[in-house]
Amino acid sequence: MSFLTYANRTFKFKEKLSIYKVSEIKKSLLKHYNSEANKSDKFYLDLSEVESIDTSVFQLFMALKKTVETGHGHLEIKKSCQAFDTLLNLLGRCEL
Amino acid sequence: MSYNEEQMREIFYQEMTEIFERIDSCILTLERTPGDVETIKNLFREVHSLKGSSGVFGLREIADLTHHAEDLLDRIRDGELNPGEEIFSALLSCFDRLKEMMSASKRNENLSAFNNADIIKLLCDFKENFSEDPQEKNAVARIEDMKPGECSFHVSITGADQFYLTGIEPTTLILNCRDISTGLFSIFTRVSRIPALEDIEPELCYLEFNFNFVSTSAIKTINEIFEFAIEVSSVKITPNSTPATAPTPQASQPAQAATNDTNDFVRLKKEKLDQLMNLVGELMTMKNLFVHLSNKLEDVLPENDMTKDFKEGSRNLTHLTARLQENVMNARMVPVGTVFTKYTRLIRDIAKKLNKKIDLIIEGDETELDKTVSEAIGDPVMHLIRNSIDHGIETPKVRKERGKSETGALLLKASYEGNNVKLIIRDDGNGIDLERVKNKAISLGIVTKEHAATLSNKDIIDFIFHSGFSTASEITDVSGRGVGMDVVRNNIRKLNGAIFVETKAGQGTEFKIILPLSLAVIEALLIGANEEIYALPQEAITEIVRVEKKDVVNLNHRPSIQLRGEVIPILRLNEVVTLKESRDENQTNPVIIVQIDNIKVGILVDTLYWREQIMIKPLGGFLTDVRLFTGACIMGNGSVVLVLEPKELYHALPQTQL
Repeated sequence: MSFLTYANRTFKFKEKLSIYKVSEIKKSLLKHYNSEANKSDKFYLDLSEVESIDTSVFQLFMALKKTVETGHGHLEIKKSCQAFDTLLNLLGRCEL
Repeated sequence: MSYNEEQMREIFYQEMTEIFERIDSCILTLERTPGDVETIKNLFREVHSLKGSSGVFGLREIADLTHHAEDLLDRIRDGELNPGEEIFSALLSCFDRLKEMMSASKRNENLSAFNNADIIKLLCDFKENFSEDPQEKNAVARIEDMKPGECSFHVSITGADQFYLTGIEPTTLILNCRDISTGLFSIFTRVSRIPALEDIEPELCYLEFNFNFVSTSAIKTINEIFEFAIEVSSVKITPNSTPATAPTPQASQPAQAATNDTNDFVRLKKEKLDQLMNLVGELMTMKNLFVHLSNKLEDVLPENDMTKDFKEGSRNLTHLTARLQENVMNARMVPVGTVFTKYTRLIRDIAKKLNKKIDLIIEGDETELDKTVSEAIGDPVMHLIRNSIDHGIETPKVRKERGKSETGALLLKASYEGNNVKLIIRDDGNGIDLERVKNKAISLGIVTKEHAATLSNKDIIDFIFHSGFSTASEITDVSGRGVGMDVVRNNIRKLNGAIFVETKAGQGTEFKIILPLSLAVIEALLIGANEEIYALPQEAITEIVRVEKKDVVNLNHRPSIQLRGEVIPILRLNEVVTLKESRDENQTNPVIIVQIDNIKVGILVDTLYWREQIMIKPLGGFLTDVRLFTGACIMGNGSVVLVLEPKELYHALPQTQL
């Protein structure tokens, strides 16, 4: 999947992330997360190459955060992007 | 302590109870609509009053702890903090502690024994808003800061599941509102509904939004922004104030204005209203006497000016008494909403404890009920709510497996039905497992296996009202001790009410409670048996028929009549009230059909007199335990008439033989 890669516990996204891709993103996130043996450590999001993002993807990140925390892990944003910062600001939040 | 001080103390604690109720209600409202400016202001005002009054009464410990809560609210009001679930829980914990302290102070206990360090830490630990945005620093739009022509709006969006599927991107709505905002703009996005990754349906929108903004735009413009969202979600647009004009002293002092409003109300002890109602009852008895004399006058005196004036006076007295009675009864009426509000907190706490998600829907909270009835109904309704949450509504996981929304719905609804108030408590949970109820009834020996096989669903449901009956597999501290439902029904019956149950497996249960609007004065039909007069509450009567002796047949060892194809068991009043065998002199007798809990019973009487409004007085002494009579009333001629309890007449049925 070209818009999501996973390495070193980091989910790296790029291009335009929108409702049209959320099903694929969900499957991919789950696949990579489940493949990780050690769940109780930090996971990262790298959004540095994301061009645009909408709320459906934002809530997917929140869902991932919930799953990670259930496994006693922690989800952090390693690199953000302007599109994501703008979205957070618009939603009245400063973090996931 | 002087009499006045004692009175002041009593009023103080009563006021504090009311303030706590309003505080709970405000916090629970804010949980649903966190940015609601008016509610934040109301809450702040209530907390400020609590602190002030406690200080005046020398309750320093209470005032000190309240001060910390006030500080936290001040930070929310000034936009330093975005109110969220943790803050609301902290505030509720704080006010729970304050309630305990208030109760202790009422018992004259030493308040310094309370260690409030844990609560104070909870209240002070909230960090400032993470937002750097100066607009969000002022999260709550201050009406005082508004310019002339501006109006502040509060918008809440919930149930937006279908947004993405219908092409609505919430950020577009937010941006559109931001564009028309002329000053402050704040938004709070709730993310608590978002499930874990493995459970999320990515095309559904789980987000909920609350925003406040100030704008010069008309409400029509705001509505247009949400035109499509309204079709697929629940959008509430509330203008928080009328458009601002040049500041006036009143506008800049809302708290003062609110205080002045309270001058329209007089605090009155319930006992005083009870006394007033009793006096109205006495007056009605006197009125009945005058009406009685007025009717008799025709028989003994020829009509002259004096008899005409006397009759005219009686008519005026009747009219005035009716008006006085109506006004006093109105003064005793309280909205059911005051009772419902108490349940809101209970439901929240139980749901949290049981890890269940519950959407409470309240309808008809403005419906009014006599204060005595509304107080007495509190515990039974609370028990039904506990049962619904504990045994009815499933956990989110189970609900999802059953294809239901993860959040269960609990409806509390009040409405008028004739001279009654109807309360509905409905959940969309498990429903009652009738097979389990039947088996339990058999195992408890309430019914034999053979008899159980012949019972209707309604008969089986009725077992849940049997003393000690419970199908709960484990006893919880929420409900399930099996001592409740019989008490619930008995308490409702004591109020001359009735309870009905409807249930569908897997779909939920509905409890319907029918209550009289008032207990004090009722319309009754005066009836005769063995030359004695009795009063039968009109409310229970569905119709009156005349039957001939030959129409009474013996079915299942019970005398019965057929009415439009329906077999109705009958009892002879004189046998029930005097335990004497009926002389059965009449060839035709009036039969009064009464309906009790959906069952019709005919009461065969000797004579029908007239209808009259009566004031029921409780029976004293040895008569207290005679369940056949609900009380007594005094007639116009001074005689005492016993008031029959229709439900007990029904229980008298099996003893009646033809």
